[in-house]
Amino acid sequence: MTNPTANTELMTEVLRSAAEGVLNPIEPESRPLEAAGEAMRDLLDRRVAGKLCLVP
Amino acid sequence: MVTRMRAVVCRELGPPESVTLVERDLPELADDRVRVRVGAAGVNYVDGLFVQGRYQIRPELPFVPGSELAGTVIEVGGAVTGWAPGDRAMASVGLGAFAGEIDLHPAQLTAVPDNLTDTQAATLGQSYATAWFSLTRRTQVHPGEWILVLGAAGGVGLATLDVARALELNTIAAASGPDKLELCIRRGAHEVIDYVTDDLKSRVRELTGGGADIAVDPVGGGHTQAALRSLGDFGRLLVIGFASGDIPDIPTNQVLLRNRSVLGVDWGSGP
Ligand SMILES: NC(=O)c1ccc[n+]([C@@H]2O[C@H](COP(=O)([O-])OP(=O)(O)OC[C@H]3O[C@@H](n4cnc5c(N)ncnc54)[C@H](OP(=O)(O)O)[C@@H]3O)[C@@H](O)[C@H]2O)c1
Repeated sequence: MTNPTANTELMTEVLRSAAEGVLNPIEPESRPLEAAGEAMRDLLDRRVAGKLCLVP
Repeated sequence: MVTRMRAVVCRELGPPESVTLVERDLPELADDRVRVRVGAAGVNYVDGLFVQGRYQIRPELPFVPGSELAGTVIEVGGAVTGWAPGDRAMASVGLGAFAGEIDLHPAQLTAVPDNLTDTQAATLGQSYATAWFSLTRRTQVHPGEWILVLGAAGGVGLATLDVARALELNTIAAASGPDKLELCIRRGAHEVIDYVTDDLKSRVRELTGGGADIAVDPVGGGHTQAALRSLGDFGRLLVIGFASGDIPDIPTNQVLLRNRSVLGVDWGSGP
């Protein structure tokens, strides 16, 4: 999607729903910045259940 | 004041392990930018595609991968209004998030709701925007409808389960292996199917008593046809992606039968 206004609207709706507790995003698994390559590899290789993030 | 920053750098396209962590001087902040200390950067399937050179867009080398983040504003350019040091912010950036700090245009930033952690906020943008766009813009859904979610323990899949629950749909999560299925149950899926060991189409038909109303497909490959065939009257198949690596052909007689629709979803978050 290339319409920036529509994008912003969409995110506003998502974040409002998250703030109101209507949506309930999962707490992801955290890994250090050093593990970036391995994290990308694990996703590509189907080894991840849930979400991943890097914490610098 | 921070003067050095750490960043993950991709110098040449190839396996994701070939990226390196470097430390470099922080440049002076431009007048129209906001500097954010990255609290967390979400890792998405698409980040690996960028590094492998398999994404539609090929970035110029070298680049810092990482497409979404959340953190805290630490410095604000002279021409910027509306943001101040200490504010919590999140952004979808395409590239650059796998770093300690990132300089962004204020229009890229969104305030983080108080009840979300940085790690939650850093991992929700792409997946929830995709799920929300799919179920509120690409098709209309009605409470009580049955939705089948493929790759349900993945990024797009989990977000779709959550959005579907909020929209009062009945959810069937399809994923591989007991760990992923258990996660889907913990995340509120009404029914689960292991689509590697079980027959997807007949299980969905059984569970729904006739066929699903909506199928969401970020996986592709052989599962796409099974998902299409599992749809009931006026069923809609939402094509999101091809995490299996295989772009399937769709038999159009299966679309004609039972008045089904196949809908493309392209919520772009590239740079
Ligand atoms: N169209 C859009 O606007 C849009 C937006 C966001 C993402 N996408 C695309 O959607 C796809 C999924 O993204 P995502 O963030 O949900 O990824 P993800 O978190 O890695 O999840 C993908 C799921 O696909 C399944 N899968 C099946 N075969 C696989 C294989 N050979 N390799 C890896 N995974 C496999 C895995 O579940 P099982 O093991 O349970 O099968 C995995 O959980 C990607 O292709 C992405 O580029 C498109």
